[in-house]
Order: sequence, then structure tokens, then C-alpha cells
Amino acid sequence: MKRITLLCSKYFFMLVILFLSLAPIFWVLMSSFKTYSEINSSALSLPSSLSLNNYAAALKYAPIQKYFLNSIVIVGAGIIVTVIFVAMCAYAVSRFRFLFKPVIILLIAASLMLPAQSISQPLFSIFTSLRIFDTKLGLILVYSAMGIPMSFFVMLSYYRSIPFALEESAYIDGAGFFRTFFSVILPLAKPGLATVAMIQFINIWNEFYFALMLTSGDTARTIPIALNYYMSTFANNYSALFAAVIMTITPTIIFFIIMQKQVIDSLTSGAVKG
Amino acid sequence: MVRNKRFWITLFILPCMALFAFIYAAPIITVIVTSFTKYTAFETPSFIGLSNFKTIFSDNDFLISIKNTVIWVLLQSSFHVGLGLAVALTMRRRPKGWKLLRTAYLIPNIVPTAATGVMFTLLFNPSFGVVSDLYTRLGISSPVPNLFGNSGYAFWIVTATWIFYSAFNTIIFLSEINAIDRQIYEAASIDGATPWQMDLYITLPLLKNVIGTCVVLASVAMVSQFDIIYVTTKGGPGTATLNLPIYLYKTAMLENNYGKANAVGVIQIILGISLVLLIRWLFRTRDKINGDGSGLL
Repeated sequence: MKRITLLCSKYFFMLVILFLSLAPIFWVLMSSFKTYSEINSSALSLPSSLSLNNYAAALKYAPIQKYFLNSIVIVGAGIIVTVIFVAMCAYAVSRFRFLFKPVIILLIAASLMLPAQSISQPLFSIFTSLRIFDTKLGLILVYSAMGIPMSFFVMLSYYRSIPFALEESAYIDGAGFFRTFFSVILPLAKPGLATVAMIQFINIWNEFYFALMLTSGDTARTIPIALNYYMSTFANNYSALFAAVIMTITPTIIFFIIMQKQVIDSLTSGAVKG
Repeated sequence: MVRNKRFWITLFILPCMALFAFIYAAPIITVIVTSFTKYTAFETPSFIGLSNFKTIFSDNDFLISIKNTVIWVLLQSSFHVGLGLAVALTMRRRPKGWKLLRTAYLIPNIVPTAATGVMFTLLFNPSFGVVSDLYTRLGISSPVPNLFGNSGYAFWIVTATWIFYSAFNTIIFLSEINAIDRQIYEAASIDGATPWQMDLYITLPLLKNVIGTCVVLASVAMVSQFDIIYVTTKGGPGTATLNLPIYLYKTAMLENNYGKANAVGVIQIILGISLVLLIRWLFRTRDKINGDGSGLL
């Protein structure tokens, strides 16, 4: 009897978690098919038909494709720059002794704890004077740099798991520094690089603060900022707002479900190694 | 050969450190230096000593923003991490449907937080949200409260938009639990331990370290929590949901008072770092912070 109560309470708890996770999204999805008057008359009723009118209206007023393209360019470039820079820097730090090595490690470790907003005002001023305010380049620079601390430590511990003997034999075979890195170490470090890329994706695909502070128009507006602006764009047409939100979050959810295993792996290794 | 090697090391480190210096180092120095100056969008910095700090510490809004930030840190590092742990312990023995639950629980953590903000704003809208429908269905005739716009509710409703979504912690706990040796549980079960006792006396003590990590991550996240608050209430109504990042944003972008904003930034940095050190100390174990910074977070 006690076991059954325990089992029931366990499943009840699981159902509550399931409800909290999916109910808000499901409600927005359901409402996105409703007409304006249906939304106003009752929030919890089902839509009378699966009409796509709201979706058409949303696409008419907000350039959702453009926001996606911006996000893909900015996030893609941010990932590539971080992966290349960190792959090189962490390799040199993990394998060789040199003068400023402890300083580099200490600085990057300290920046792991830095609340990023605290440095936003100088960035805003620097970007304005360099004329990269409200450009994709500006956000790419910020996001690539923000990815360095966590990625650096993930790569550092990954390189340390690769035995030195491999490089020694490469050197004996006459390969130079770059050749050894590129053809021996890098192929072995691929899983580490994939982890770094995934952590970077999760962090900057959703980044809001710097995108808000460093953009002002549609040229570099990313998905999270677009979502914020929908509130005013669709202030008088909230049936379309529901559709716009669904269109904006669906690709992320689909991507996540496909890549779930990689996402889970990188989240755990990011926390444990970082 | 040696000179050649030095050339390559420099070449490998330079791009990363140049970017790091441009985006992190230069701004941090600027923040610290200009926090002691009178500096706005319209005038260049001039030294005024501790005046900015005196101003913010005598500003009631700033003190409230610190108070709210600290309350959110406490709630997040206790309830939020605790819930993530509870879900992980529930899934530990892989009950039916645990994979589905894991995927479903991760979804709200994966969608942009701005989207979560928009969705909850719609959900609790006083005219077409679920609250008004529930009032009609239950026959309550009193006016429908505007949950985000009412200073009595706003803080708790904003908290509710993130405090339950602890799936990242659950994932980290699950992977640590999987790393625990099965034989320990087998031995305990031969000794007649109940599942509850096993969690309490075996799983939890072995998770101490990683709980510390999750508490650090949750606290750091709360010291810089911005997105959902900005989308839903912008710190209002009044100061009900004002926290440090919102206060900093308003000071920099609306007041255009850069010196004062950077003084707030300095306080935010100090608060963030002291929290990390405090939590690390509370969850201290024998292993020290390693030279590569890996025991730090």
C-alpha cells in the first residue's frame, strides 16, 4: 500500500513538471489558430478551426525570415571564431611553458565570474566610436569573446586528455608545429570542439542583453530582440503575436529535439569541466 | 627550432588574447576607472572620487535593486536547484516515461528567454489571458488582477517565469548520479535500505560537489538576470521587480549617466565574485582550486 502511494506521488510530481514545461507553449500554440474574437471571448477554449490567417498576418508585419537570417549569420560566425581562436590558444597553453601563461589562465578564469552587463557601457561607447554599433560585426565580436572563458577551459581539459606521445612521434617524423597541430591534434580534439560549438550555440542563440544594447534597427536584430519588439509591433493585433511567437520558437525546439543528445552532453561537460 | 616554436606559440595565442583584451580587459579597466568620474553621454570623464558610490548608496531604488537581486539569488540557489535535484532523483531509477519528461522539461530552457517573457505576458494578460477565463468559469465577479502590473503580485509572477525551469541542473545531476558506482546501491539494498534512505545517505552526499557547482551557476545567473524582467515588467511597477542589471541598464541608457552606471557595474562585479567565493567556501571540499582554474566554477 505504501509503495503504491509512493509510486502515485512520483507520477503526480512528473505530471506537474510536464504540465509546467509544456502548458504555456501549448496554450500559445492553441491560441495562434484562433480568431481575434475567439481569443477575446475565452482563453481556454479550443480554436474553431486550424486557420493560418494569423501566421499570414504575422509574416506580413514582421520580417521574421530576416531576423532568422541575422541570428544564423551572427551565431554562426560567433561559433566559428570562438572555436578557431580557442582551439589554437588552449592548445598552446596546454602544451608549452611560456612567460605569461599563468597570467592568461588567471585572467580567463576571473572573467568566468564576471557579470557581463557590468562592462556593457564601455562596449557601447567603443562600438559607437568605431562605427560598429548596430552592425552584425559588432555582435559577432562580442559573442565570440563571451564564448572564450568557458570554451577555453573545456578545450584545456580536453587537450590534456590527449597523450603527449602522439606529438612527440609526429615531431620525430619531421612534422613542424603547425602540421602537428593541424593533422594530429585537431582531428583528435573534434569531440571537444563540438562541445564548445554547442555550448556557444545555446548561449548566444538566446542572448538578449547585448543584442538589445548594441543594435537599434533591423540590420542586426536577432531573434530574441525581435521577440521583444513583437510586443509593440503587434500591440493591436495580438492574434498575430501568438503566431509570430510560435514561428520564432519552433525552429529552436525542432533543432533541440534533433540534437538532444549533443545538447545534453555539452551541458554536462560544460558544467563539470568549466 | 626554439625560435620557430616561440613564433608559433605567439601566433596561436595572439588572436584569442587580442579579442579578449578588446571585449573584456579594456572595458573592465574603463568601468573601474570611470566609476570614480563624472561621465555622461555629453561630457568627458572628470575625477570626482567616491561621489558616484555615495549617490547610488543613498538612492533607495538602488538599495531595493540589491535587495531584489539577493532575494532572487537565494530563491534560485535553494528552490530552483532543489527542484532540479528532485526531478533528477525522481528520474534516477528511470521510471516509465522519464526520457519524454527529460525532453519536455528541457524545452522551456531551450527557447529564448525573451520568448518565455512574451508567452507569460500573454498568459497572464488581464483581458484575454487564462486568469480572466478562470474567473469567468469559477464565477468570480471581482475585477481580474493584472498580475505583471500589480506591485503586490509582480515580483512573484516574474519569479514564476523562471524558477520552475531547472532542467539544466537536472541534466547535470543525472550525469553525476550515473557516474556513481552501482555496487554501492546494491550493497545498501542488501543491508535493507529503502530507496529514500539510499538517496538521503548515498546519492546526496556524493553530489555535494556538483550541487555546489549548480548553486554557483544559478547565483551568477541571477546576479545578471535581465531578459525576462525587461520583456515583462522593465523592473516595475514602481520598483517591484527592479534588480541590479535593470538598474544599470536604466542608468546607462535612459539617464545616460555613464559614471554612475559603471559604479553600479563595479558593485555588480563585487557582488558576483563574492557570491562565487562564498558558495565555494560553503561547499568546500579537500580539492583546491587548480592552477588551470578548474575548481573555480
